[in-house]
Parts: sequence; structure tokens; C-alpha cells
Amino acid sequence: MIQTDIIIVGAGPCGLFAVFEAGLLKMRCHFIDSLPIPGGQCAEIYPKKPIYDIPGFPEILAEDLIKNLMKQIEPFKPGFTLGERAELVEKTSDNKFIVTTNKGTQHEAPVIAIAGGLGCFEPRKPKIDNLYSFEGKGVEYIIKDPSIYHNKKIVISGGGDSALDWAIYFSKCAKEVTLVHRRSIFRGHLDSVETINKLANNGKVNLITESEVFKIEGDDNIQSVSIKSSNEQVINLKTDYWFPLFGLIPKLGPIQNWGLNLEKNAILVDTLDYSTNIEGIYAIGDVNTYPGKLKLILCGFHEASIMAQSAFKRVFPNQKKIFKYTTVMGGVKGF
Amino acid sequence: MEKININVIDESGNSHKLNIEIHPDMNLMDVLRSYDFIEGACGGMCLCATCHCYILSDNLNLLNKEDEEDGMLDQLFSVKENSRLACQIPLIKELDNITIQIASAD
Repeated sequence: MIQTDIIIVGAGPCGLFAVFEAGLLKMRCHFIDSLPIPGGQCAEIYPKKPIYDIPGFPEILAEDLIKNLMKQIEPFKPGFTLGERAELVEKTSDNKFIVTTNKGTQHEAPVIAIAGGLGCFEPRKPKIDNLYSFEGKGVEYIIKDPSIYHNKKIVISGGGDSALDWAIYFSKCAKEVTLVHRRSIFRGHLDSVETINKLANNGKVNLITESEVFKIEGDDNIQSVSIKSSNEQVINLKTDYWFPLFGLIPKLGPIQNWGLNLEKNAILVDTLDYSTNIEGIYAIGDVNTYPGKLKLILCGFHEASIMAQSAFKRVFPNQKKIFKYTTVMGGVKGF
Repeated sequence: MEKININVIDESGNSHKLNIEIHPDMNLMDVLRSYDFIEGACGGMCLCATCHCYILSDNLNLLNKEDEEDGMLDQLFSVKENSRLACQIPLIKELDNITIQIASAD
């Protein structure tokens, strides 16, 4: 069990800066982030984009902002659980929280600060009535171990790189591969599109365009899918697996089941200290909402500092908090 | 600053007429979000499709899009020929009197 003072869910810029503000108050922090590297969207999605509204930086690349923040919080030695998603939260008898990740790693702290940004990127799921009952029973959105599907019948839906790459891969080792796409053209890399067309011409991939899967059938596991074309023709295809690969959509993820008050996919907070409706759980940055909310990194920095001041009372209930500036007492080392 | 009219059909099917100032550094998503018509979750980076809308006006120039936007739209189940992401439409005077319908991000 990892023990700390503040569990920060999300290692984007606001979460990172929270370590600095907590560190000034001698609180230790530990991150949980589903991404394999710190930095959130700045590192993963737009590292090379310049940001113009960080005070003191007329222009800074997103990745450089993260590098600077990592350097800024280095003295406070935060811990990291990366590549794991915060899944469950439980309250202990001594008023602390235990956060368990999807890989079973447990973290204990009196305070949780959710700095999850846009949330987790989850697979976009087709609207088919009984879809959920076949998830893990033949319907897969993420292919983790391709060897499971060797010598099996596979149907893949989608028109992007992911769908094309897997169709090409499985054309060599699956029993049968069918690629279903809603449009007549693919938007994946040109090389991949050419390869798919060749494989289709050679009978290695069964290509069905301007069509989509609309029905799944099976007893326990999937046994067949029904595919409807744009001119309303329907075919039924026996299959062992169906991979709907329609990209990712940002969702709050498991946090939405933590009992927090939500509004439009964001966590409602009190602007007094950015606390949620659960005492000891805070939400800062893009993941929260309140009247007048601005989704700006600089606003998240402010929220992180106010949150840390409030968290102090819960982490050190018997201590008097003394506010100090970093310009005195030998800089950060003085804290 | 020059003003334009934008007609918006919200998710419930109700019509709204917006009279707004044009601004070259703003996009249609910024306006729609400020009126709470859409979520605009990713802030205009073509990442989430929560500003998906249908262009109902007969303005073919408005249907031209970059690969990045096309790729995101292609993943949506609710995509149509007249689909656009509002975050990729600059707020220019050519939008005057367009009619758009708020669509699903799936």
C-alpha cells in the first residue's frame, strides 16, 4: 500500500503544480495517471503547441511547460503510479481514502485531489442494444494480446489506422478477416489503404464498405454479426470476435461512480477551496466546474494553491498553518 | 465590429437566432459554448467532437474541411455529409445567416 498525504488523480499541469503548493506546506503527494508519462494533454496530445497565456511566459511549448513543472516540483519528490487508472475509492475507519487502480495498486491518503482534465479517453461504442452483454465475450475495443485471436474468425469495424492496421495484421494469422467500414474511402495512411485493397483483391481480407454492423447474436459468446449496407441489404456473418474500432472519446471514467456531484461531465466544486461534495476529495483544473469556470491552465494553478491550503487542515488537523512566501527563508529549500 | 446572425437549432429542436460580433481569432465553437449549446470539452483541438453540428444552409464552402477534422468526424456514428466540428469554423462574416443544427458527439 502506497501511503501519502494527497493522492493526485491526473498528472497534467494543474496536478503537477499542486505538488509544489502542497510541498510548501510539507504535504507529500502521489500521482495516479492512466497515461504512461506525466503531463496529461500537454505531453500526450499537443506537446509541440505553443501556449501563450501562462503568466511570465509570452510563449511556451506545452512539453516545455511540463518539463519546467517537473523541475519545479522535483524538491518535493512526488510519487508516480503511471499507466494505471484510478478505479475505486473507499473510506477507511480513520477517515482516510484508499484508491485502487485497474491494476490493483492501492494508495492511502487523507486527501484526494482529482486533476483529471478531460478524463480518460475511452472507446467510442456503437449503439447496439445488447452490445454490453457481449463485451469481453467476443466484442473487444482494445486488442492487448493478438495471439488470442490467431486462427479465429474476426470482424473489424472502422476506417482509421487502427482498424486498417489490425485487419492487415490478422490477414496473416486469423482464420478469416472481415473489415466493415461505413464509407467507401478509408482515412488511414495511404500505404495501409493500398495494402488493404491488395489483400481484398487477393481474398485475404473480406472488405465490406458503405455498411455497418447493426446486430450481434450469440448464446453466451458472440456467434454472428448482421451487417447492413447503405442500400439496406443485410448479410449475416458467423464470427468469433468483433472489434469495433471507432476511436476514443473523453469520459470521466470510473470517477463518475465515486458519488461526486457532477454537471455536464465535470465535477461540481465549492470555489471556497475547490472541494467536492465528499469531504477530503477536491477537484481542480479542467475536470471541475462552478459558476464562471474558465478552462485555463492558469486558473487550474490558482485552484491547486487554494486546494492545498484547505487540504492542510485535513492532513495536519492539529497544526497551525503559517503562510510563507517562497522569496524568503532561502527559497523552496526553506520550506 | 461587424455583427452577423447565426441560426441555431438546439438538441431539442428549438430555434435560436444569435446576433454576434465577428472575430478572426474566434471560432463557432467559442460562440456556441458561451450560449451553452455545446460542451466543447477539448477547447477546440479537434479531439472530442463535442462541438459536432450539421450545416443546414446551402453553403458548400462551409463543408470544406482539413484531414484532422475529417478523421475525427469519420469516427462518429451520427456523421452526415453536412457534418462539421464548430471548433474548426472561424467566426467570419461569410457565416452571416447560416443555420446550424447541434448534433451528437456519440
